[in-house]
Amino acid sequence: MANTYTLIESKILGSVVASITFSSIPQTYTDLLVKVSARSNSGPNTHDNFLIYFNGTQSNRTNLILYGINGSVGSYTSTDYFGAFNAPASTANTFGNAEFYIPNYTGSNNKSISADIVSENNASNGQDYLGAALWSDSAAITSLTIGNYNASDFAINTTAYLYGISNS
Amino acid sequence: MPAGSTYTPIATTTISGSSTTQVTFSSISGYTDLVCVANTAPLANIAVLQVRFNNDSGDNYSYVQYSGNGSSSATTTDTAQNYALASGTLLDTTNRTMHIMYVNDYANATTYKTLLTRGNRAANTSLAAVSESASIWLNTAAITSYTIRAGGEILPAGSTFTLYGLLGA
Repeated sequence: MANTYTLIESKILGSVVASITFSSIPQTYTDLLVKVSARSNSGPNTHDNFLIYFNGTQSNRTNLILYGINGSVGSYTSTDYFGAFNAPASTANTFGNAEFYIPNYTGSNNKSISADIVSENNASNGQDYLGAALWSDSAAITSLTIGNYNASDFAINTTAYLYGISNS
Repeated sequence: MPAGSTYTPIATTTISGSSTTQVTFSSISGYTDLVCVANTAPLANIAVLQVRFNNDSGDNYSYVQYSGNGSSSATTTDTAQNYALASGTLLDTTNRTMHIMYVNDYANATTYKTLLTRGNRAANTSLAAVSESASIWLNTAAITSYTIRAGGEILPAGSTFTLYGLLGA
């Protein structure tokens, strides 16, 4: 059976870090998939916000989000932050989950991200996000960085897994 | 979900030329769930991305969708349609779109089948949009063929469609 859904690299945090980077991504797959379980380490917030960017550059990004928060639905655009995950003021030991799918990451088209993100809280203010992001750049993606818009570190036990998906 | 080798491409179609109106994956068997990844180039006209199972074009599908465009959000629902809805708002004339579509337990012969779809039109203009839809096919037959169409519009060259099979064990 073809091995077409392949773990490229895992990051399991044993100490806090400001960002998580997958570098030297092989150019041998069709699509990329990143699965993240994250919590912020400091600050007053219930939720912090993901940043995700490629090849070390944070320019030329356009993010669109459809969200559900406390029974309300809305939509916004952003050039940087991209959905929420749990921060210290949320329920203890609770991590936000996110999945980022990046098709055709080696091609010469602008690169897109399809994102599904949840940040649950055992009280009010649970949050759910669908995201579409565009990086207006024709370069192949060789590195991928997940950061925290709110300038806090990722907590210990945050995990991120990068998969390569082949269509043949 | 380290799925390893259980995530297997059944078939991939890349559109070339200018006469293809639908893509059909047939003789599907041997898996637990199906995932289809559709990456479409801009069309000549705005269109609805649709899915049909087993070539059923009867009014045997119902769906609900919610979507957002950065300034507003909306939800729609329809019954007795002749297609399952992949997205009702995303295919346009200037942007690529991507859809990930899931069918769980597609081979059982006792339950109606559902299609869960996640779509996005990433753009650096006000045309950016996202959607999520859930459709039901009112038929208990095992799914053996899976057709994707754009409401009869020509599928543009450079569009790719890949159907993956997932094994539960």
